[in-house]
Amino acid sequence: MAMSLVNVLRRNFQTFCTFEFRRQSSLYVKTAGNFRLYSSASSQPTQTVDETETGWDDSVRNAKALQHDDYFNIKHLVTIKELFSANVHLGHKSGCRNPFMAPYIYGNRLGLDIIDLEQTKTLLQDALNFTAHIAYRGGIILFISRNRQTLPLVEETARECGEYAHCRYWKGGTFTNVTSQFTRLPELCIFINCLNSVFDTHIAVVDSAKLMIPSVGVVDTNCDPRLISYPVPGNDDTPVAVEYYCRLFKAAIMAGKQKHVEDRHA
Amino acid sequence: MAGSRLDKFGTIFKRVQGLLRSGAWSEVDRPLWYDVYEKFPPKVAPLYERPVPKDRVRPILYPEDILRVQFHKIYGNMELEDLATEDPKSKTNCQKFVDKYMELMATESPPDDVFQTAIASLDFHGKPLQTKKERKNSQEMKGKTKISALSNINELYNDEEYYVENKLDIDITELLENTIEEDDKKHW
Repeated sequence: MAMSLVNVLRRNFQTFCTFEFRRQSSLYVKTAGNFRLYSSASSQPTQTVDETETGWDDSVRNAKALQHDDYFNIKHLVTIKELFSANVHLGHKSGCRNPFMAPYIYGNRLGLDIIDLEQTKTLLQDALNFTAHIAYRGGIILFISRNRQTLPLVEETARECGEYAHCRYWKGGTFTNVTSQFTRLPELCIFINCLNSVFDTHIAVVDSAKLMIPSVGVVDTNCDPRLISYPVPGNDDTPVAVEYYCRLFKAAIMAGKQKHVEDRHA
Repeated sequence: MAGSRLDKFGTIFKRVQGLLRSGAWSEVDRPLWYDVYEKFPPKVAPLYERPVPKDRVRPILYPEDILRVQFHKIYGNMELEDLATEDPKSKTNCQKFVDKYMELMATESPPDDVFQTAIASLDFHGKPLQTKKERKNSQEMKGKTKISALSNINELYNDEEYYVENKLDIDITELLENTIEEDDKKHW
């Protein structure tokens, strides 16, 4: 079911209204100071949305951006060498292995699983490309992690790119009972760590699948990659690795937003 | 919002696609990510219901692992590494040995006893490498001094110079307590 350009152009006034409503609501959520879901890292968006533009051109531009394989020029950011030096290849002991992670594991070195970086590279590139496209379209991105050691880093990353983070205790119903929470669901969840504080799958992984929110997630060898839309096999415990992921996702989001501004004024 | 919350059936994309096809959602209301997902779908569809992969994880072994085993059998692992101040270029004695061995083997006329030649090129804090046996023997010697120290404990306790010079790693109060306990046992 390919959306042809003609279909896009045929949209009537209602389209414009919907887009305008969406933008207004997202603006509201972005600037509102007191709301629950994104309380940990609310901030001003770095790129303000130009309200005089219409949704018409947006959809044409978005469709155009999809024509390119690497529209935001971010795929070269991922290199095997950097993945190695960030210790992304180190997994857990084989006893902790999730059976669904087996295809992403290169081998077992003296009891320790080693992640196949060749696969990680392409998967990470896909994840970054997807993230950049969402940012380009003005989608709201939510960083999620329950790793306490890297919590400040993840929240700071979200703040720096004008997006949101939820790294604290996950209250049940944050997504699933959203209508009574006076918030808005994000367009993309980035899981820097897919596990919660008791090494079980984070509830947000399941909830975002329930509510049809795509997810990008770093999955270690002890994580379940099944419900993550764009899993990135890699070490999620080492601060160096988390710094690396944060840097890349920030670069992707900023590239998306930068292009958004450039294309609008082109 | 229309849509089923059954996360275990199909993928998010399939479910949205179904809603769009049936007309429950209009094309206009499709999610922001829908087109991106359609153009760049994930390599593996995020299905919950999928067979357990049959991939077997192979062990990672290198030919030089045999050398490592031989080295550790004879010399043991006497080195401690400080991971906090780890120098990425620093190598363990075992790795130095393996490198030296490979280097010697790569030469045109490797010496008859490559193993010993490679070992001889190494040092441990400026001293030649000690085998496990040698270290055990030296430790036994140390143990003997401990026993003699125990017998002459009162003398030792008074002779501070001897204590400091020999750097005996004995906690005297602990020893005294132990001897008292043993005495008690005998008594009962």
